[in-house]
Amino acid sequence: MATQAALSLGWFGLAGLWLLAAPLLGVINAPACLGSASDPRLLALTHAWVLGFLGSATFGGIYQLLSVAVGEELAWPRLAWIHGALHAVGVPVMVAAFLRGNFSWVAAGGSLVAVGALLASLNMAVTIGRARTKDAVAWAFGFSAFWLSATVIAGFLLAVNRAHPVLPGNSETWLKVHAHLGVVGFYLTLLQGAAFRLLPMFTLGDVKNWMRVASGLGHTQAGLIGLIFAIAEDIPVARIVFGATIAMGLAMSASEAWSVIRSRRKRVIDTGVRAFLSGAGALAVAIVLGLMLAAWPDAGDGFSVSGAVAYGFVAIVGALALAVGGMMLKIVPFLVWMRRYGPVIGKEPVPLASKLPSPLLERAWFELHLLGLVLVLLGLARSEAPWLYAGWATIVAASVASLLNHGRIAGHLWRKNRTLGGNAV
Amino acid sequence: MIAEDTIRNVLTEILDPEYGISIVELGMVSHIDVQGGEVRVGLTLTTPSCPAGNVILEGVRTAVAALPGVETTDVYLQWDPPWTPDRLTAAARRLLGWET
Repeated sequence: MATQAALSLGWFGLAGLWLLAAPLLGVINAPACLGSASDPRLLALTHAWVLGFLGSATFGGIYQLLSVAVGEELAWPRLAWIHGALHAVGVPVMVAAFLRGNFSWVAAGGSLVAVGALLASLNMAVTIGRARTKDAVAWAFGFSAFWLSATVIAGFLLAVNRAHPVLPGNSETWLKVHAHLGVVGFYLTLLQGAAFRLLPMFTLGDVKNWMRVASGLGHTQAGLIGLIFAIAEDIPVARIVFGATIAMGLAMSASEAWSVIRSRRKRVIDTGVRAFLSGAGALAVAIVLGLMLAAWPDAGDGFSVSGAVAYGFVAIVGALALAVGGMMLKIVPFLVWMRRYGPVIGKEPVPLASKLPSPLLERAWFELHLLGLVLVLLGLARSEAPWLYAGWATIVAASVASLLNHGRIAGHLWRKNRTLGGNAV
Repeated sequence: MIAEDTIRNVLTEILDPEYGISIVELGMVSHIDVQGGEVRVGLTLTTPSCPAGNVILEGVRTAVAALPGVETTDVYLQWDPPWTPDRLTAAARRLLGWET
């Protein structure tokens, strides 16, 4: 358990570095947000968020949560460390290569990331396969492992395709397929499952209707399969139908998550859970944008270009970053507490895990991040770079607050004086 | 022979790391059995997937074993009956913000 906590903390440390680097890239490349979605600078920014911050934080969560979620030890912990090394090297190579427009190096960095992600998928699949009982949460982890493999294979082929054409048709189409496989297939599927382990744990609430959880997951999976074909075959009606199917699945999950919140025994909803719920709200906005883009693909270049960037921005920096950042606020203090104070419980006074973070810094991250989202969206809506600079700079400030908070928490790993606020034995 | 209340008292000092409430007030201590110097404690968790389960279990074992007169300690997880909110004491409800 202690080794697993160290593994996850390592991943979260990596996520912390990217949490600062990604919005800094946003500030430097703000005008690129007003261009095409396939602009290499925008691709660098997207991968800094999706693989750098979200990927690192999500794998940190997976390697800690998977075993408790499915009741089975992680099949190969050593493989998870190898995955971490490949990811730590591969992502910066990819991002730097995107910035230089060098797609051979994108493919090289992407190969490392892809091999790591395939190892992670295998590790997850074998762990889930060994579990005695498989509920909707276990299935969600399993599906997300499958989509993770599909995402990295599609991404690798896209990078190779720039130098040596291997994909049929338009590469923009395959870029959309790759993006939806990653965002909906891997991240949203995972959150659809993990939320029903985490929310009850953090709020002392109950999942009342497991059928609704399973049904939400089923709709999302069916919708995603259909959407991928609809995008690949360029069938607008099918894009709307399958996009709406995904939306319906997510609405079912959101409805059940809300019933967990309503049944909570811990009255105060803390910042981590609020951020997670705000992420769900941002997701609803992204879905509306996505359906509008599917319904009116020829509404004009301005709408299509800014709309596509806004859609990706709200989904990634809005929905996913808020949800994952919120969960980090809950999981990181707990992991630090387990590693530092767990071994001395029952022997001497220790602080509470919930007292390790700074509530002020948590709120600062959350509120500044929300403000930054609004400013960037204003910039996209008005096609004005100053709003984009202001928005990304505000998100950098949010990230600094988050890093200070997590640094304060991590400081406990080396702290000698063990008392702080609460006391457990 | 060590009294059951003595065991319960020492367990009130073990707090759940997330909620800051003792495991006794949370209703996580299902059973205490004392036979001479042998102590058996049955615990339940608020959720079977609680990642702090092992740490709490070990903490209870350590705290009970340190009591004078205790020769052997057996701490085990008991899922039947499962934990429900009805097991929260009035003090726990107050600490969770629902009753004043």
